[in-house]
Amino acid sequence: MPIKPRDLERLLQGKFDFVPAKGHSSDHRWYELRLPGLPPILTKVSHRKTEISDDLLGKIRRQLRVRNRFFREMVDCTKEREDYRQQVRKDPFPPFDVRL
Amino acid sequence: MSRIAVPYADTGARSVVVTAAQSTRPSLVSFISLSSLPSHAPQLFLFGRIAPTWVIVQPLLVTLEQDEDGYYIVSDDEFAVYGDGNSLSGALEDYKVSLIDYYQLLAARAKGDPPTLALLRRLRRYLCPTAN
Repeated sequence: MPIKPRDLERLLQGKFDFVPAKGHSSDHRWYELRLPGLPPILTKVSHRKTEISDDLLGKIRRQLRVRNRFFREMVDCTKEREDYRQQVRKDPFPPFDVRL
Repeated sequence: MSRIAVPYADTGARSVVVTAAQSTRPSLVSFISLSSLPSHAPQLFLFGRIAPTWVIVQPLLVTLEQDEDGYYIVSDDEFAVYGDGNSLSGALEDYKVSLIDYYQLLAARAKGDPPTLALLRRLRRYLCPTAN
């Protein structure tokens, strides 16, 4: 599932409605998605110039709260915006683990 | 396999405990050598001051890995924060900055938002800002 950081950022913003989230450090690129009733989904995209390794994609996948297979389908563009939103609402993985 | 040593002080934490998944006795060490640890990813607890105004008040377990490109990745399972770099100390530094970033991003969004506030409260059990 090779993907370059820029392509992943484009995918998150263009297809899944993530928006840049400014952190306190200028060299990190964070993106967020706000869904009512959930904490913000925050993910950091590494600033490597090369393709993101599978190991690192695994970390990003966890920040996006989806399982590996679902994430692959997101990258392969076979999952739509609403599929992702429903998935995160119904079965976030790992769970947010917060008590309201 | 190259031998990578991270000086104790290089982590910036007050103490470093290295545990291996199959070890029942964590030990206090002054350096980490990936080549001397079992092949599965070593883990360590971060604890203490990680930046001039930030302290980890409860030991936070992080995993150290080296990916197929040779980059190092430091990550936790508690908040899914990661840091990476072309050296282990660089990845640890990136992790610390990312954890503080994560705190500040949540804090900026927590007001009037119970789910975000709940997550921030959980993070505050581990990470706290301090006065200089």
